[in-house]
Amino acid sequence: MGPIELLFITIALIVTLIGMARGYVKELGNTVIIMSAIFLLAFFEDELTNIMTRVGEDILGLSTPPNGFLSLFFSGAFIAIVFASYAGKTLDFQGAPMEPPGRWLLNLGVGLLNGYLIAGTLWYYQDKFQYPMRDFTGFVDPLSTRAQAMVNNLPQNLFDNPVYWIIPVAILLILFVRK
Amino acid sequence: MSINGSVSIELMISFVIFLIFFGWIGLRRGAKRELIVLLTSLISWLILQEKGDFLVRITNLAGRLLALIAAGGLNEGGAANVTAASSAQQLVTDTNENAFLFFVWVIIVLVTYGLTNKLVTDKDSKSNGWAILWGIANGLFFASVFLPRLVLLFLPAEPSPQQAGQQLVTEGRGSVMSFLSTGFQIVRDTISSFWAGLGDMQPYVLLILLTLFLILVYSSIRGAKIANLGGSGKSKC
Repeated sequence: MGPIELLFITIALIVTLIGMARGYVKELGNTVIIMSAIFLLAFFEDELTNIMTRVGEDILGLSTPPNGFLSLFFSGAFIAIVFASYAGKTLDFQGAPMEPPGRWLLNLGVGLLNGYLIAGTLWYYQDKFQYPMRDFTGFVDPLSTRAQAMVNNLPQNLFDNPVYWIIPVAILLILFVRK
Repeated sequence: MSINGSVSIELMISFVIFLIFFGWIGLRRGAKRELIVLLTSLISWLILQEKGDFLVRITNLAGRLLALIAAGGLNEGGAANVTAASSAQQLVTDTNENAFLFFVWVIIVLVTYGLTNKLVTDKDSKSNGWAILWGIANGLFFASVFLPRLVLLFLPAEPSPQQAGQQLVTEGRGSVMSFLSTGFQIVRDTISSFWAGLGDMQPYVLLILLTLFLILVYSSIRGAKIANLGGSGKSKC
């Protein structure tokens, strides 16, 4: 396993452990926000890329295309939303979790999902912009077979249309309203 | 291990049904009863494997004592009988030692099942998730002990059933880990081949599974309601 796989798997595991420590009741709110963030950034990806390319080239005078700036922008926007979901305005479900061991399994499941979504999205924006931060991400050219297989299964590459990501969120919101 | 698709599906279904069956038994009997059975069966199995010689010696000693009593060795002038009893045939020999220890272990497990049913009340033995887990753990352990022996019934004569079964046991292929790893590998392979067979439907199935998972998680929260949506900005960590 190469360094880049290890890096993002480590990020995913750390997020999973945080999720297990906080519990799935709190983590489910983060899942909703993270999936919404993935949807928004993917849905407006082309428009945002065009605007930020303009900003990078015309205002900041960066090289063409400004991949480092773009990856920084998308990753930064995503991290800001995730951070806000954990520390800022939170979507918190008030209620009692189920009893162990079911609780532990759900803590693990939701933690793993959040870990995959966060680490996978960060990796996606590195991959999309040709690993501009290769000195920090342990990128080895070309990617190993395993890494390439993992890239094909990153959140943004799973579905043809980013709207898919908002469907579970919408269904959950409908359930909230019904209660 | 290479198993063709049809057999793989059959094996996966058998494995899953096996786990469900023991999980269901665990749920019926409750967590405390199943945990006691699990600990007793595991510990007694380990002790009999490691210190079984001691039990064999005691059994043989008891056998000679009985032979001595039967021969009148406790009566006056029974020295000759003592000599005769001491040279009497042993109850447990090298050839039937394993069978004897296995029999003792089965008795211990059966007695533990019976006693836990009698002595542990339903109130103390809750039917919860732990009960299912302990039940499955019991099933896995029993499978690792019984299946290598039961498979002898279905094997052809060459190599002889005894040799083949003994080979399974001695090679460690009848261990819990072996049973688990093979079982989960079959499940994984079957799901992988099923997943590949979905083709263009994969994103839809994935979406359905993701949605069902989130609904399951949400529905497991008792009294869940939205709180702090666009709220105060204070962390809920």
